[in-house]
Amino acid sequence: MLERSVLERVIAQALGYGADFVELFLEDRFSTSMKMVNGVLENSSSGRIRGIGIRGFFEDRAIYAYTNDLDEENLLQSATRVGEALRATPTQPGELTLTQDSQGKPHAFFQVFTTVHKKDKVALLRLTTEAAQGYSSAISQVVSTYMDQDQKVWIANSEGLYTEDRRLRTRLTVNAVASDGSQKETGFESDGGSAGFEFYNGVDTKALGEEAARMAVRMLRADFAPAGRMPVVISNGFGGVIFHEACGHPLEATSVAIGASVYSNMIGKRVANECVSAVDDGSIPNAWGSGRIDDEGNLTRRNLLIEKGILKSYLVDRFNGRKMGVEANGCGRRQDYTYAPTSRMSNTVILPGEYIPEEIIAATDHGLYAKKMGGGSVMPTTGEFNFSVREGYMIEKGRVTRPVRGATLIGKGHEILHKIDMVANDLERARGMCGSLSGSIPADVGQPTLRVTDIVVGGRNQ
Amino acid sequence: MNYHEFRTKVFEHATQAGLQQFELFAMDSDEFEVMVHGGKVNQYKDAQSMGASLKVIRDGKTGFSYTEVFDASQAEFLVKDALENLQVNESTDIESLYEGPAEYENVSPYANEFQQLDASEKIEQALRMEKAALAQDPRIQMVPFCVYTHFSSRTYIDDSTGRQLFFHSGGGLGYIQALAQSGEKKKDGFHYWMGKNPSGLNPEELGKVAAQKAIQSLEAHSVGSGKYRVILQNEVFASFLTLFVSMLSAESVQKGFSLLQGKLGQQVLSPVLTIDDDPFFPGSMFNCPFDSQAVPTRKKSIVERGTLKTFLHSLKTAQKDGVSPTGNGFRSGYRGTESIHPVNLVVRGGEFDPEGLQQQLGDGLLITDTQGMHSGADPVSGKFSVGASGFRVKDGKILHPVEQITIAGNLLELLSSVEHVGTDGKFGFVFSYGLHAPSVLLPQLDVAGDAD
Repeated sequence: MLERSVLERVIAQALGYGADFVELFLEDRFSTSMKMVNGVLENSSSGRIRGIGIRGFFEDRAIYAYTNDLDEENLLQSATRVGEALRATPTQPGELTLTQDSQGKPHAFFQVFTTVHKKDKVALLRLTTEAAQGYSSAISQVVSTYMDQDQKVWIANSEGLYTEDRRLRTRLTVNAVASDGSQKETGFESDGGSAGFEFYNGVDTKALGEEAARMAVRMLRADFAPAGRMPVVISNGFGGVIFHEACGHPLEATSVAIGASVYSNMIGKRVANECVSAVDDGSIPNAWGSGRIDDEGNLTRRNLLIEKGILKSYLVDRFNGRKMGVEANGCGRRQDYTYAPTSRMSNTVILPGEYIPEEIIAATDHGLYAKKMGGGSVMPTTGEFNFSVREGYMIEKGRVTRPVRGATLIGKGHEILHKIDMVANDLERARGMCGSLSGSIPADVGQPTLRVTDIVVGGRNQ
Repeated sequence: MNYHEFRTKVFEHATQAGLQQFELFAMDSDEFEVMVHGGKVNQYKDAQSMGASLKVIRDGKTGFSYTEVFDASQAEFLVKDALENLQVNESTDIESLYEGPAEYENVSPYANEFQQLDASEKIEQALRMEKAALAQDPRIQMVPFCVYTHFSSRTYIDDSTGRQLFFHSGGGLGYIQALAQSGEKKKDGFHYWMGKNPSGLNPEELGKVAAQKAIQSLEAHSVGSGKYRVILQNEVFASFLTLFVSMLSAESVQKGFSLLQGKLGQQVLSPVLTIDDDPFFPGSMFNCPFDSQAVPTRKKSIVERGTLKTFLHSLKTAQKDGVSPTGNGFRSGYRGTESIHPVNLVVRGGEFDPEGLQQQLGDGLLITDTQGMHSGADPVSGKFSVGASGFRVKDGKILHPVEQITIAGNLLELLSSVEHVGTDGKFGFVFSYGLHAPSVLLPQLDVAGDAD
């Protein structure tokens, strides 16, 4: 893409202004997205982005510039702007030689998206849409989307690192609306991975459509959830969004480094009940949030965050790691070259426990069973979170009974972790898009079925 | 090659491919951002990028392809790729280029007001924001976020009819979050300013208000579940209106995703609500003379005393409904697809200032913040259940701050129940379009909390 010698000169340019670290992130990406509405392919769009991000550090200051004019002269100008903005003392940089780094295994892909005819991608949408429409006559609308992207990145820095990665990702989503004339309810399902088009050989696309439809129809016949504080059993898979939002985000060095997180200065301390262990692992082969390296060129790895309730590690990117005096641990990520990287989750899960899911339900006299979670958000500074329950049921006398809709769970993440008292053995991961400081990135959430002794459920007053 | 050479190449390839209708939409954007922490610059961004999207039309069908690479081979690929996208498109809606009158309002463009300031002045402003917050009260523990940012875009539309349009838009934003601590209790306060001219940004005011908000909510606790009279403060009401905006899109209406389907001309909202789309709203950084399809923008009444007057249209949806396009077919950038939204959705102010509205409330809740609007609210069904915080009000006076509650209901029911509208219109924290809303008083809203 760009000669290594050009990258060396650009890095040297910023170093000359006194930067004590310089990093280049070059990206060339081709993406396709499609949308089918009620069985009609309404939109197909594709395109290419290509640009470079130049980042310089001086002590605890970080400057970022990006451009998509890759002319060497323009790159040197951008490097100059970065260097000047650092306000360091200009120096005469030493010799810089970039050396290729290729540790770790790339995530395998076989069928590159541009070799697949667009009609074959449309066919996937058709299968899943028809499955949803065919599930019930109450299904009034179905929207399904397909996306794929082939991202090539080259990362170089003033420590001599030169590395590259190619990440193929694809995702299929389906949103079904059920209607009884006056009310509408929606159901959602998706699957995706870091792989080529061969990913769909292992996906039951019809089942995705049926599942979304089932959820919508089921919720149409549901009462409104009751409001109040009660035990909540959260099902596996996307239920992990609770940990992602309430605990994962506050463990990112972005807020830890400036002391703004509820988990600042808590390493080695008890932050959760003993039955809770959690990891973030960007190295899981072909998982949705995986990559060989992160967007700072470090190898992705399995980071143990919480072990039996004790806080073991944060998610640390290079810049915040510098402020905290710890090494980055392979989680510096960004949406694309227009964002500076920061500490982000990749595939984050609560590890399995000893119960079977049915035992947990049976042990609960009265409460809410959150079978499918929707999204949510959290304030890292106060730990306050909220998230919506897409598909909920009441638990009465140890049994799952009537469906309920419109429930929201709110609370404080650091409090809720102590209230998880039963963890099952059915760990599952689910796909999501995670939005934060460095943009929107693919991330898996996950957990086994677990119980929280009490959470405030927002619903309607009877 | 430069953009003009690239455009010529693309048009040549499109013509060679037998296409008669095509359009190149390009944006040349820049952004600047400085984030300070602890009296020092923490992060700083200074960037520029440009890209273009080609739209081809054949037999009423469209195909899109975009690029940030401007060379000869990419020009050829762009046409081929857009045609491939056109070929899989199954929509029966008729797409076309705009052929109506080309009379555009004279909207004053962005004049690089923020760029004219030296970077050091902007850093200084951000530092003053943080300093003001910290100086406000010893219980302000820190300022997790303090940002000064500005951005601008030069939009170019060139098409096969020979049309060439250009507009420069831009503005800036200052925002700050202050964290207060008292004992174990932590609360944050957030405040922002946005506008076209940096002279409107008052750093001391931003820092002070963020700090006050954090301090005021330190003693917050929950309230008992029940139905309450409620004021939705202006910023909160604005975030609810983002749901209403998606219902106004004629595309949502035509596809059956809007609760407003079939409601044109009917009383759908409270008679105290009048809502306009005003592309020429004084001081708005979102003002523009044309939409992304070259259709002139115009001021129009969307809701007049509760009655729905119009949906928002793109060329395609207008054609389908047999009405004139309304100048609301936008693209968020060259990477994005077309979507329909207002330029500035403006809710006309009412008769009560914040204090007067509180008097009208009597007993109830003043909601000043919500969390989880993106996940807890569904624009299709209109249902919402979101986290909220604010103040308990009794006899028109603030009793205590409130946290850890949820509010739930249906958006259309909420909008049709509005009792009074405030005079305190403000731009909400929304960036795809302008959303200027005052506070409103609701006679009843479902609240869940866990106090007795």
